[in-house]
Amino acid sequence: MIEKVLIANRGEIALRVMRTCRALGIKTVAVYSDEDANSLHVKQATESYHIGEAAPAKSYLNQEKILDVMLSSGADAVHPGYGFLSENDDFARLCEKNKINFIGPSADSMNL
Amino acid sequence: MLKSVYGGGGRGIRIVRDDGELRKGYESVTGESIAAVGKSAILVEKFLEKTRHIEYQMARDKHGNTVHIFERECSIQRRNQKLIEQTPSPVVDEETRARVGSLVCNAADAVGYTNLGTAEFLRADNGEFYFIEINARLQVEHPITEYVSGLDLVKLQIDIANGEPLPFKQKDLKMNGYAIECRINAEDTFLDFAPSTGPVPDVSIPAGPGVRCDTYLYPGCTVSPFYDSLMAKLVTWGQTFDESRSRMLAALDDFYIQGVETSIPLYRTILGSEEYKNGELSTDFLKRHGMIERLAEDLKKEKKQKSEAAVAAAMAYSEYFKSRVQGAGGSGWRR
Repeated sequence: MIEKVLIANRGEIALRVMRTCRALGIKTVAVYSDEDANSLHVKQATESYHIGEAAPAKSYLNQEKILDVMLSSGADAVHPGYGFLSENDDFARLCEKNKINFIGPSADSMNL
Repeated sequence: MLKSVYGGGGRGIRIVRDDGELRKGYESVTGESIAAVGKSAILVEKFLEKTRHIEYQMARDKHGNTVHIFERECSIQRRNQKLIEQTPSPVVDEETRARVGSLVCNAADAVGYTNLGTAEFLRADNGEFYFIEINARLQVEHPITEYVSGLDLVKLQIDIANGEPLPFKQKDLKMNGYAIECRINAEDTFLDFAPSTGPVPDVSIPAGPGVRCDTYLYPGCTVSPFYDSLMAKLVTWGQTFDESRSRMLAALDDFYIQGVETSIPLYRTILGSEEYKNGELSTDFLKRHGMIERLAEDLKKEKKQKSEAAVAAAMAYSEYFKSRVQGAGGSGWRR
């Protein structure tokens, strides 16, 4: 059973996903860029980790960095929200390989 | 139409009408996709004019149980970027809902899809549905489905990821009421929808019966130029379409965002229009009905009313002041 979810996103969708997690008693892990240090999703998560510079390629799209945070924080699942890594089959496969539950379709069905 | 596999929210799409445009379109979609997600793959689709965008929410668990959770109509768009969504669609009746919905479920079964997905269609004027794609993610417009179904779609995603069977069957799902979503973007309608960014010193978020607002805004926050312009999803529900629409108009009036330009004024004009009220929707709605010009007229009228009201108030105040002064002095002390 999922007990701790990393939300690989920002803004209103990160908050939206956290709202349900809280209602279900699931712990949340936020990630954020330099630009988002004062954002609500950082404050509302159980734990928050800085992952890089403002440009998406250097933060919210940085799969290796996000995987590091998943492993070090002990998250057992990841919710990608929409945009960013949500439909990236490489990322879904990376999660599968590291035994992290990707909350979404399998990497193979993304490729259809 | 050329469309990046990794696009979304209207990005990574070009309409090409001849060979010359094809090369240019290919290059720009490729460039945009690589800049946004670091890779590129392109789909080619037939482009239909005067269409409606209608999509179906679908859910399938790991045990092979599949349901559709009704349709959403997302025809009000600008350059393939959705602006306003609603459910039910005014052109989908009970029979169509069940027929297209079961097609979507069959497709999900055929490929062994798991979790939530959205099957997007274009509906031509003659009522035919053309399949576009399945979006393998939660959609920005998911709250309108939550309102009419009573479900929490993120909870459903988590339950499915946990390997639990869907706790209901198709026949248990009943559509209740009408929901509308407006995507509140930080952009300037009159500057070709250019992003408007910077500090937001103050904000007031609408609430009330049948009003939901998902937002990251708080007084003193900043709208960043690095990310998507979506600041808030404003969603209303009503027992009738008109109740939902009236609640949205009131909520748009109540939404105060200081410091950046927003799409709120445009949405007030759209929701107040007869065409929107009558459900005459199409993906070229803004252009077809001259909505941006009508917004400019509405703003001009509003400004005039405001300045007339200010003059009337000033005159009333000066009359009141005069009478008070005269009253206090007994007879006018100054001639």
